[in-house]
Amino acid sequence: MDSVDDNTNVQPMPKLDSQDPVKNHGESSAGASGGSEDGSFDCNICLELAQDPVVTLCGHLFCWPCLHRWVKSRIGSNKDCPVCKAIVKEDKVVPLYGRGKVGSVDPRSKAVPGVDIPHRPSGQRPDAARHPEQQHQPYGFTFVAGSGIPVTAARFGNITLSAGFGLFPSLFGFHLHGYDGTGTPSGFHFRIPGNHRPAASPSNQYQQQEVILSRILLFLGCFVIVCLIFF
Amino acid sequence: MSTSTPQKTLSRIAAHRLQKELAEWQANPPTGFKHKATDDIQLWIIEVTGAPGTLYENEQYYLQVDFPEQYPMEAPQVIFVKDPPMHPHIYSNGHICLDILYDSWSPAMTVSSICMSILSMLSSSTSKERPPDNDRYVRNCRNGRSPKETRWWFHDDKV
Repeated sequence: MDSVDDNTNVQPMPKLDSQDPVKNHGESSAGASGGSEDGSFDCNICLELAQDPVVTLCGHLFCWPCLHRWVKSRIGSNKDCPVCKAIVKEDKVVPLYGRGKVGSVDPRSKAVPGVDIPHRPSGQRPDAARHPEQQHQPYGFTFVAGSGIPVTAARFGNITLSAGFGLFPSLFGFHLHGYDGTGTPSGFHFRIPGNHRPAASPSNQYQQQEVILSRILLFLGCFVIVCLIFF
Repeated sequence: MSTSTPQKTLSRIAAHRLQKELAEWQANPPTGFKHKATDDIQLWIIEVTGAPGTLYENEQYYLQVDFPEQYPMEAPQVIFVKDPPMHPHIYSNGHICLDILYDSWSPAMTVSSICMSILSMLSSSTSKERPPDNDRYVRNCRNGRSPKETRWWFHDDKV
C-alpha cells in the first residue's frame, strides 16, 4: 500500500479518452486495487467500479446504494448531485444494465448496516420498434363497427372496407387489417371490440397513420350506413 | 493539539474508500502536498508547502485530516496543526473557515481535492492576518470543540 507498484498486471483496455501518459500510468496503478482502469466507470462516491450503476440526469455515475445513502442523508437540505450540485431526484436516475452480473446477486444480500436500500429505479422504456414485416406490408383495411351483422362491404383495389353495427353502439370499435394481397381477401372480418391492440397513444409513424386512416374509414362507414337508411 | 473527535471504527465503506484514496494519492500526489505516514488510516497528517509566487512561498504547514465513521457521506475534520498559517480565514487554533469542509461537503470530494482548495485559499490571500473574530472564536473552542460543530457563516468568496 505504500508504494507504486510497477508490476501491475493490468489488461490492456481501450482508452476512452486520451490522457497524458504520466497521469494515466499513475491512475492505472491505483486502479489495480479494483476499479476500471482509468476510472471512467467508477462510482463518484465510493471510487470503486460502480455496483448497480445509475446515472443522474446531469450524467454522473454512481452506485445506486451510494447515491441513495447520500440523498437520504440530505434531509432538510438540497438533494444535489455530489459532483455538480444539480438537483437529483431518485425517480429520475437512469439505471445502467450492462451484460455482467445482472441478477446474479440477490439484492437483499447486499446489506448496508443501518440503511435499507430500496431497489434501483427501473429504466424508462419507450415502445419497442415494430417488426419490419409489418411495417412494409401493403395495407388492406377492414372496418368493423360493433360486433353485429355486417351491413356492407366494399373493396377498392387492395383496400377492403366493411361496416356493421351491433346491439351495443357504445362498443363501437374499428380496426385495420393488413393482408399481403396474395391470400384470399375476405370481405368481412369479425372482431370483438376491445380485443384489439391497446389504443396506446401513437408513438411512431405507423401508429399515427393508422389513427388517421381509421378516422377516414369511420367517416366512410357512417356515410354508408346513412345511405342505406335513407335510400 | 489534537482536537480529534472520539475515535470510532470506520465503516466498511469508509475503510475501502480511504484505502483507495491513499493508493491514488501515492500514485499521483497533489503538487505541494506530502502525506506523512502514520499507522492510522483514519488520521492523516499532510505537509503543505506554500505555492511559489504567493505570500506563503516555501513555508511549511501541517494539516490534520480526521475521517468520521460515515466518511464520505460526512465530511472529514480538517484543521491546521502546529503553527497554522496567518490567513484571514484560518484561526489561530487551526480551524479553517472553508465551506466545502462543512455545509458544502460532497462525497465526490477527496482529500486531494480538499488540499487543492486549501492551497488555492492560501494562494489567493493578500494579507497575512487572522480573522477579525479570532480571539472570541478561539476562546469559545477552548474545550476542544471540533470546527464541524461551529455554525460557520461563509461570506467571503474572494480569498
